[in-house]
Amino acid sequence: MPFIKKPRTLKPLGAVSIGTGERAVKIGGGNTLPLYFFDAKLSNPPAVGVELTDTAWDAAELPLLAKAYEGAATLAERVACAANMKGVDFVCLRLEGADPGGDNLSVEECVKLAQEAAAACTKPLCIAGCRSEEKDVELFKALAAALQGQNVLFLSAKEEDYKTIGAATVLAYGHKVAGESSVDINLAKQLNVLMTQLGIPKESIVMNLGGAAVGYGFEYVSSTMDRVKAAALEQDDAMLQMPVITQVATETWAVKESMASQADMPEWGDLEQRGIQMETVTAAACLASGSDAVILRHPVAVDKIAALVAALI
Amino acid sequence: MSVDTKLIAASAIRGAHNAVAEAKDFLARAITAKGIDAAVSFPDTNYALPVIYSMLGVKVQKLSDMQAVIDRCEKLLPAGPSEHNWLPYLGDTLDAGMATLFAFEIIEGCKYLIGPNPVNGIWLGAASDVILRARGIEFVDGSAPGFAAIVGAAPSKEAAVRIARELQEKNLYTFIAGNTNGVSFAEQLDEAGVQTGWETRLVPFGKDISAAVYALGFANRAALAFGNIQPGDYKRNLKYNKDRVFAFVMALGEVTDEKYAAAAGAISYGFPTIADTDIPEILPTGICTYEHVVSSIPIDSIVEKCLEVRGCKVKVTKMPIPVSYGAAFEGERIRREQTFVEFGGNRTHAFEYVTTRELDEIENGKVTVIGPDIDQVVPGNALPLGIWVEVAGRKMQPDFEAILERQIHHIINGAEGVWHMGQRDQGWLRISKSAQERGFTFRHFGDMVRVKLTNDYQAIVDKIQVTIFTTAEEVDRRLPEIRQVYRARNQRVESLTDDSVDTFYSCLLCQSFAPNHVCVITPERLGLCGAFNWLDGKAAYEIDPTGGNQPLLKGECIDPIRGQWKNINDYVYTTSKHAIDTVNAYSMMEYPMTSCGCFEAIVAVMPECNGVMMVNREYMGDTPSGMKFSTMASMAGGGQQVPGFIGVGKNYATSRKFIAAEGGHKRIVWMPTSLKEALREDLELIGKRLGIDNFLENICDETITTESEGVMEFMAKVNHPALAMWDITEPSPEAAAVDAAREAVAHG
Amino acid sequence: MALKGLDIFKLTPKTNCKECNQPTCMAFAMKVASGAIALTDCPHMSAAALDKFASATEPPMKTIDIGAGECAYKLGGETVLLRHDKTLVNSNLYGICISADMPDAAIEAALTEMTKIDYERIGKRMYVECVYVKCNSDAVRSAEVAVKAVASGRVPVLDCADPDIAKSVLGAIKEAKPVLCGANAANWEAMNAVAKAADAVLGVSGADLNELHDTVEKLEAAGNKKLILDVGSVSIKDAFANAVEIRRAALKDGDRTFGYPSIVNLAALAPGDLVTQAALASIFTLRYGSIILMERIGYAEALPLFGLRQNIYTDPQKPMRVTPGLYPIGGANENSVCCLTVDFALSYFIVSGEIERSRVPVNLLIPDAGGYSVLTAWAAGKLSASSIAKFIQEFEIDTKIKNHTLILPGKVAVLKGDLEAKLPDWKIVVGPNEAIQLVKFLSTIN
Repeated sequence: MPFIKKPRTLKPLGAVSIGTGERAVKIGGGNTLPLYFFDAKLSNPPAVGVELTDTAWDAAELPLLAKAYEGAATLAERVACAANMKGVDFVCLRLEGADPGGDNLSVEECVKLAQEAAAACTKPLCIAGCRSEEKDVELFKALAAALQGQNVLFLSAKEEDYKTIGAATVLAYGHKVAGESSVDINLAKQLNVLMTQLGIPKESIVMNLGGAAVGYGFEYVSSTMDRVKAAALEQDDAMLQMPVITQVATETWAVKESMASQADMPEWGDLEQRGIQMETVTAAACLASGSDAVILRHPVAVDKIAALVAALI
Repeated sequence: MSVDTKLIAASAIRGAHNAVAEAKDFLARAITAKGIDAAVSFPDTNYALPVIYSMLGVKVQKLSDMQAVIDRCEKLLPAGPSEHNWLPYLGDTLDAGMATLFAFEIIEGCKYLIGPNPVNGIWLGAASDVILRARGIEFVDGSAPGFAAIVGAAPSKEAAVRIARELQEKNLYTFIAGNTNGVSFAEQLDEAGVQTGWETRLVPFGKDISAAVYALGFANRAALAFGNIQPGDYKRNLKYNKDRVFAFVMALGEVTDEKYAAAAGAISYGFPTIADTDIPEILPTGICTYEHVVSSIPIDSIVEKCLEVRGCKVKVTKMPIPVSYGAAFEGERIRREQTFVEFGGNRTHAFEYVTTRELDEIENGKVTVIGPDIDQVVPGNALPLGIWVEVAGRKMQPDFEAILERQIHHIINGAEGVWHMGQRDQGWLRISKSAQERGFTFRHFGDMVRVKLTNDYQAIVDKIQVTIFTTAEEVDRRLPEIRQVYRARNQRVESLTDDSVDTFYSCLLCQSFAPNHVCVITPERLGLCGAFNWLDGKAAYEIDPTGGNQPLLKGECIDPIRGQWKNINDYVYTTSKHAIDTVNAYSMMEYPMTSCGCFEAIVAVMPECNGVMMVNREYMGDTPSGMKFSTMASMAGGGQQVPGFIGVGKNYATSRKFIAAEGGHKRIVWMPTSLKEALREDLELIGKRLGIDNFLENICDETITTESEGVMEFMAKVNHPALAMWDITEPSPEAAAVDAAREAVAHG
Repeated sequence: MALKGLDIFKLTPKTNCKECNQPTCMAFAMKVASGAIALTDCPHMSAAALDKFASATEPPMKTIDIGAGECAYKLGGETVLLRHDKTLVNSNLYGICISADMPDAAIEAALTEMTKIDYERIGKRMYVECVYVKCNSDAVRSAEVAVKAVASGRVPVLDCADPDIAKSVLGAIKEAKPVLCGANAANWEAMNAVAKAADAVLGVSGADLNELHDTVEKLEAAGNKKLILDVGSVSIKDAFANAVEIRRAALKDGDRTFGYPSIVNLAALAPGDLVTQAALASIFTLRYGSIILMERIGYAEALPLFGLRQNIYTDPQKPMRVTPGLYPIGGANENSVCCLTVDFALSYFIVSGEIERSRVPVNLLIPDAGGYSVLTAWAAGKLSASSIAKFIQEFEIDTKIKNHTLILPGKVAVLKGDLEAKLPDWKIVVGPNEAIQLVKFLSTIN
């Protein structure tokens, strides 16, 4: 007896568009469970972003990464390199220099940097802060005004600051915003409810459900995304149907496997190869669990993940 | 409708007629000077004349466009109320108010064209879009709780400064327009040397009353920019303002017809008018959240009254005490030798007490110390203490008193160098020598309570007043009264039954690790973590309406014996992500409530004994089921329905609904001695109620046996009541009757 | 619908005879209901009850045993598609590929690289479990290579579609209980005979799912229920679709014919591209690969993949725990400060990661806190001033560490007073609420 394939038709979810004109990219809008593109004609594939910071990477042991940015002296030049990288759908600029515990750049300096970056960027732009809550709020308020009309995605608003960030980015200047919750389906949903109650349209919200590198409690990330996608697609839960974006690189490049030098861990071998695989494996696992967009750092990981998504379509 | 309302209506309608006439005059002069096609606008805005644009959808760009708006105004203008007809005037009044705002906007627009220029000296005129966006964010995120539109002038310069300062302290914006007999509030500030401008949040728009329209235009633009509301969609625009922009009109000095007309316009936005003079009032609520026009408010308390009438809540950002404050100090201990002064313990009486008052009975933020303060204390002494907290709020309920009162422990412990233990009349507090040296006084108890309760319980606390008593006489005098209240509260909790309420509360806080688990909290079945009862759920929902505790309207009862309701089933089905479709609140054998993992105790069936055992988490030993607590916990937990095993809060064992479908307390055959002791008093009462002597002695424990066979022998010896009951694995005769009845209905 | 504990209890003799090695009939019933033991463990179960039970609870996916001795593994036996629905039971296996066509030196190199990967992670040994041997037409050479695979101490997975060669290679290594891949629509009868004779699990492939389904039905009819299904190597998309369709058919739609574990050969899907293979291995670890084969596995691949697998194959109810003890981080010595967190693996990883990022040497103290997160452990009474004091005493932290500064998680600031009383010669400092604030906090503490 032959195998009987059952039809699995699901309603496409809403997508969030970032960037403008021909360069705009849609995030989300899937109509199948994650990567199950054989179930239905695909409405929109997952997107791959590349991140860079205003401060250049420490690429001492990462020759391939260094090569990708070879000759780029200014932030604008590095952004241009990133945007042209193979497989890149959008660019994520992290304003690490703003960190009050670090370089503590002023809001004005950051605005200037972001404007230069935006001018040089040929792909849609996504802006992440420096993980200092007070600074990010000030930063996003100023950046939203300075980048008016460019339809930027801001990462991220949390339950504590969604009002200010949501109002400044989406309501005042028509950008997009990611709501960040800490790996919990109900917290994610609550934040979506709160943001929509504030008046932010569903079409302007992306979910940043939190992340982890594989091996570091990734089961929570995976199960949370499994449940979010089941709720969105199979139970029609409108408050969980926003697209999911995952900052993979910030997680994977912060763990031992991607940081310990070969001198410290000789048996582990080449550091760059380890970092690439950590990032690639985590990114693939995120996509399989439900990320509609992943943000990566290494050009090899970006290329391979983008190609893999294409191969699955 | 009252005489007052009618007087206001008459006055506002007269004012509207005057305003429209003046606008026509301005427009005529402008056309004469510049021609009918002359361009007209407010500077640096995409919202044209914003009130007209957002209400009518008309983008005024030329003087000819204004002509069309004047025509609309004339249609809106009602005739004055007739002398004999006392029918509703509110609709007419609102129309008149709206016509007035259009007229004012035309007047101000014309001024930009033919003068006098609205921007002049301290006067700023219309706000640009850049200002609108930057400042508008503060209204959306709450960093500006609202704005005060002040029209007229204060009785004195000093009064003006006081009002301005108080509004600034509360982070409100103050929009200033109009004058009283040629004197303006803004000029009063200016003369007193107070800096005005957007930076100080004291914004003088213009000296004429027509400049008040800038404040409403700001509100309208906020709705367009931040509320994604389309121009012309006046209903949604006004509703946005009512729901989200906490503004009010403060009318100082004489209220002219034009001011009435403007106030009438503001009412449409849900912005009430509060006046310091004796003017007619519109008290009943309707458009505004609470009253519409309130008069004769003393100048010293007008700001507070404004906030109250508009329902505007202000957060205090800094704890006004001389020592550090935060959760990090909660665990701090103060030893006797470090103590400067202490209260309670067994040395003196100390109580803390929260009670509900009417809004006008207390003064918000007032803290009084009655008795000696810290500077009159001999170090090392003990004083009596009463922390007497009076709370008022339009959503305050006496049921919340105990919840607020329980916070006092955490609130006071948060201060560095201050230690608190106990609750109600069992308090014990210490203030350390170092806290005393740094200036901590008794009034700071009140300040901490006031600030924290205001900030954390905004939804229910509108006003709070604290009195600290430190003499034996004052403290002891109050004790009998408050002890009676404590008793009444206990009785209230006991008298709350599932049948007496129509709403239960859900708790989804554990879904992060038990994805399908849904707690249904009823008055007679507290949360299984033991930490959360029905009253807590009710308060939590009032405080955070989108949080993890949602009200569940019981709806149709499917099975009164097992405790099953249609709406509860539906809710559990949805929130368990379709994993569970039926839940019985009172049965552990059939469709029992799921368990997360944090339950205090497990009730487990022992079918061979025809009963159940109940084991608390602390009990680590063997049980007669052959499984330890941890083994049973892993079976019963995780949000699955496991008939025969339920996780419960310990106090559920004292509920009348304790496994009611299985026959209740008589089923308990075994429990560890520690649990017996914890529940002894309550269980003995229950035993009496059931007519069983030695109820607890009939229950086996680990000192007798941890073997199933041993329990059966014991039961036979004491003739345990469960032996005479129906087979626990089968439904009770009553439940079977319910089933049969339902069956009969189903089959016609 | 699986039977509930009470339903099963009713089938027992209710005598608590303990012959099933369970203390009571109820305990027995609960264990059967959870799938931990079989109904047949009760010697007093009636034939009628066994019949009734078997039909109600036959597992939707069979559990297949492969390998022998220390390298014996169970595959399959899953009852849910996603781990949060209950738990995933038998974790997937990883393997590398060698072939009879490869020169010995290359084979040695591949095996040596593989055997180097052997480390412990949260109490579990991490290593590659399988070696896939692609046979060629030379039976002797094929057997020789297969023996090398066995000698490496891993489960051999043979790929051989020629029944005669398969028979001869199996003859050399059958004690290792290998998997024999290569059965298809054309050769299934002969391959079945070879596999059965050697008691090897048989890997089945098909041109498409229809053919695979047919072949499995025929093999089952011939009495073989020890099968593994090859998801194919037509394309990445096709292989992934097949893996999902097979598992979904078995667990969701009750198609027992597809109720077998799967095998995925990534070396064939992305030859020469180890990064893409790693990405695919990740996807198949989450979605229904049972044996996942790659060309090579070095540390760069093992570290993330084994970490992922360890995460995914955890019971959602039972958090991973780390062993209590003293963990010096960032070159900490006896003069470095102490930080305390709980033995919940996630807490440990996050906290230790942030400490590493701070580059401040810290002695991380992990007491036994029942494997719960900080607040849960505190609420459950598993993390208290006395449990911490007991830990300090038992692990002799007092004498091992001279710097008696103990940083407490901010969420349990409330323990400070008690701890100061219990540890009078320690300075107790309340740390931040969230691990992410540790970097900043530690920079100020020194």
